[in-house]
Amino acid sequence: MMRYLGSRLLQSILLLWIVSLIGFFVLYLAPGGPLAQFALTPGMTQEQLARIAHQMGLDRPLPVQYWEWLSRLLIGDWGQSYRDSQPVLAIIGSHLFATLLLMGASTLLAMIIGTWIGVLGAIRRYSIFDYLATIGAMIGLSIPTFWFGLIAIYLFSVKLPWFPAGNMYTVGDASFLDYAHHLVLPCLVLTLVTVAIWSRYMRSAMLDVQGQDFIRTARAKGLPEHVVLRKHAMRNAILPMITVAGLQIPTILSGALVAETVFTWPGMGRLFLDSLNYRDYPVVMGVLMFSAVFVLLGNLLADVLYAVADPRIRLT
Amino acid sequence: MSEATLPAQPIEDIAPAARFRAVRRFVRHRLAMVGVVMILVLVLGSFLGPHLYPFDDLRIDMRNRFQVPFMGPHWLGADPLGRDLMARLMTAGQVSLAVGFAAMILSTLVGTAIGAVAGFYGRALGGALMRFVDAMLCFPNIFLLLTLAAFIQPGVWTITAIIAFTSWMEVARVVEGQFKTLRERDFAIAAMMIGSSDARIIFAEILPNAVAPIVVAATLNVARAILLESYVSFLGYGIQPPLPSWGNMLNSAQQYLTSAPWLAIFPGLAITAAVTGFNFIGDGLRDALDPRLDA
Amino acid sequence: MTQPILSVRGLNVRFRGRGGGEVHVVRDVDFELAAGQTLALVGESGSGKSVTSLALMRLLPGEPRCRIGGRVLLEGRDLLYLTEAGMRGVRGNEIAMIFQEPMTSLNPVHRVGEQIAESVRFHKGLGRRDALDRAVELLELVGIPDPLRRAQAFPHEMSGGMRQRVMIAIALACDPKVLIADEPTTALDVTIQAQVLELLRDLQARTGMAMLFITHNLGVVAEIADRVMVMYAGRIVEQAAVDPLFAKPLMPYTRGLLGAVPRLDIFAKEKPPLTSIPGAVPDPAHPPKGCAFNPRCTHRQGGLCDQRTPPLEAAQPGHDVRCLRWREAMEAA
Repeated sequence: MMRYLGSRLLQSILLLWIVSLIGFFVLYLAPGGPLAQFALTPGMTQEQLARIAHQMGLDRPLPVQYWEWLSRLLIGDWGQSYRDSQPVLAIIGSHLFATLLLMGASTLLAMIIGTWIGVLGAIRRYSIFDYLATIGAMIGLSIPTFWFGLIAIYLFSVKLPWFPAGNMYTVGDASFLDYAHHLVLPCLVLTLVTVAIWSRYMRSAMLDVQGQDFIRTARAKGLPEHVVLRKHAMRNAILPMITVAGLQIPTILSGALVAETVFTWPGMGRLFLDSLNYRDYPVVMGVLMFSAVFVLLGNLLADVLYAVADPRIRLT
Repeated sequence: MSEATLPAQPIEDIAPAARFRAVRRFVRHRLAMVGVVMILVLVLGSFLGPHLYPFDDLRIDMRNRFQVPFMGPHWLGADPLGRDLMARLMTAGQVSLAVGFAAMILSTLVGTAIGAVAGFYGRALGGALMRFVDAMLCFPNIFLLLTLAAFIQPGVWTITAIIAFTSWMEVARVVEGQFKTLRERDFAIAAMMIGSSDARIIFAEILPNAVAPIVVAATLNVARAILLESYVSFLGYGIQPPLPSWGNMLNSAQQYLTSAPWLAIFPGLAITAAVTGFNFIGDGLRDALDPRLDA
Repeated sequence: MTQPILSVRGLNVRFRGRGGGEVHVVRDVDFELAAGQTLALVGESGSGKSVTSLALMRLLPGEPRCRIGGRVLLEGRDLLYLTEAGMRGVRGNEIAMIFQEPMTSLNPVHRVGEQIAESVRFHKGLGRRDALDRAVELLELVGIPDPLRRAQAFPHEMSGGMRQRVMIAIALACDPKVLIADEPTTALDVTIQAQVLELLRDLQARTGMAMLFITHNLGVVAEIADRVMVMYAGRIVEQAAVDPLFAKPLMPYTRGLLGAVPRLDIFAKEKPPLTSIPGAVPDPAHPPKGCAFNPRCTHRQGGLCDQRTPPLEAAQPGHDVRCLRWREAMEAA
């Protein structure tokens, strides 16, 4: 297993390097490149700009600049926000909790519901339930999440004032229940897509496992059906789902961005859009790079978990 | 290397019957047929509808501001300027569908090219290209899309290009996989033995055999492109008003959500219908083109 | 013969396709099995032998996809009329089964000991510890060295032969009265095959269980079986004790099968040439008219074999055959 994890770690480092190249390339696409902040300042002359460019080392060869940028990235110096001069990494850090809370709650919910739908669809294959679940999942994947969010606000916040339409907590309250109350709608919206994906994968994983010989063995032992299902079928079908969960991280992050925007949820996605609106490029680039690294580490973590959970990998 | 000269021999020779069976499976696929009908209605409605429909999408009608759907001259109601919502949906549909199609074509071409080269040459070049694909997939697509859209002057073509740039990777993966296996097959090896050029083997021998999964991925890519366009436009970085798209109609509807919810409901339904339609078709194509069913 | 433990009368299995067409894969199968006896069920793949065994265990998909008719009497109780819960009490407890593929028949994520123990826990109500002790005991019984350590192993850490021994341990966990072995040695190396057969024979002698041994390999049949039942296209075509069947096969199909077995018999004066049966088992959805075997039969008589369906007749006491021309075969032999 150590060999497997080692090679996986090496792959991730290689990937991280390519990710940084793409990030550097995108940075230079910005109008005015890293100089944008100063180019927008009124009364800035060409000479002043050139001087600043020289100070920032922008007149040096690209590889040198890339190397500097990368080494600063690696030591955690991700630049400063144009808006309030805070270090980018600190700003991201202060918004991370909200996003993780939203993603975590929704992923947990999606796994529970999605597993249930997927398993039921697989054991009652071609039933009405299975058919509806299939169509429902495809529609769920097709609904734009922000629109679903707007409709949810209209129904459950405007028409029926059950849930707050925005923010993470009420100023002055901030109890656990208050958080939970604010979490309901954005979580629901984010869960729609994840449930759809999760239930599809779960269904096909279950169908795969159900045709396996060892399920027949378990039945031939005379075990009750629920034991066959839980101990033998689901235990095996869940394994590949760990990898699926890892692969879903970018989708969930994208969904979180949209949900945070619609529900003014103070997370990373909200921060990203605000920064875009202010042309606060260091923060924009910071969040972009951070999300890519987050995805990469998430996938690595999923692979490690898989290796721990699957005995076939555990002991080799 | 024009597309018209593709001899496509392995498929052409053995497969008229298989192809017929695939078509029949597709036509019998109920969801796919629902999808085809949905897309036909949307496309015809968007492109022919404006010629038949009595209202112009730009006509301002202050007497009928915020007209409720089905309660006045405007079928689906009117917006804050009294413009007809139905007419605006049609014009917006032209933009959204066109962007979706164009982005699909672009991303499929890019994805196929990169996947073909990676799969055919393999080794260092293929490995490097596929690692690039992996790295691109690490960026959550909306983050990348928004960053690029904010940096680049938004317009119909740039938005299309940006969407294509962030969604070619799946196609590339599919094509790479196909090429990797197909290049080991007899007909490809035979072509190599008689000294055909690489380009000829790629385009004339292997590509025609990899068409089925590409078509499926491309169909699903239309759905995804329409969805992505609606996201960026809704967030204000996509198609810019006054040119309407389903996504930016929702952006402006957001502030009237309490007073005029229909302004948000109908564009969202249009997006959902279009995306669902293409997903249904893609699903049907996947089932119909599955070679395992041709045993 | 002694009182049979398992008695099967008029077993029929029909599958219904998703299109609605019905396929009759097992037709009017009768047999009896006594304690300590081994009955071999022989046929090519697709002849219906595995379906027969799964039907006895009621492990086929339920209605309406699959219909089972007839009677399956285990010590007088008709298994086809048991409730699902009642049937679960039979499976793995009174009738146990081992399968062809030891590589895939064990659950990859559970330890071997646990997979044996769960059966005992469920049927005998043993606690976790006691059940695991019993599992180790069983591993020892089936000849696995260092059983205490092996009980903690996962299936992928074992060889094919070891895994088949584990399968046998699972099957024997509750001292079943009947063991159904569905091609238990087919996937194994020849030397391992011999060991597993030896083990099964030995265990049978110790426990006195009855065994239904399904195989397409007549060489294995000679080693282990008391009686043989040859199946073709869902029907029993010949049934006899081992010696008379090998000495004097009456059905051309049986003769064909025997011709397809390489003879390792060193005492044979001259080795007959190895022959094979031309053609393939008929599609059960479209059985040929008349005798099911007639399109492949070298002794077919036109106008007879392709017109009339032969009945199963007793050629001699204890030797049944389904062939319209068995009398001629008898005289020739």
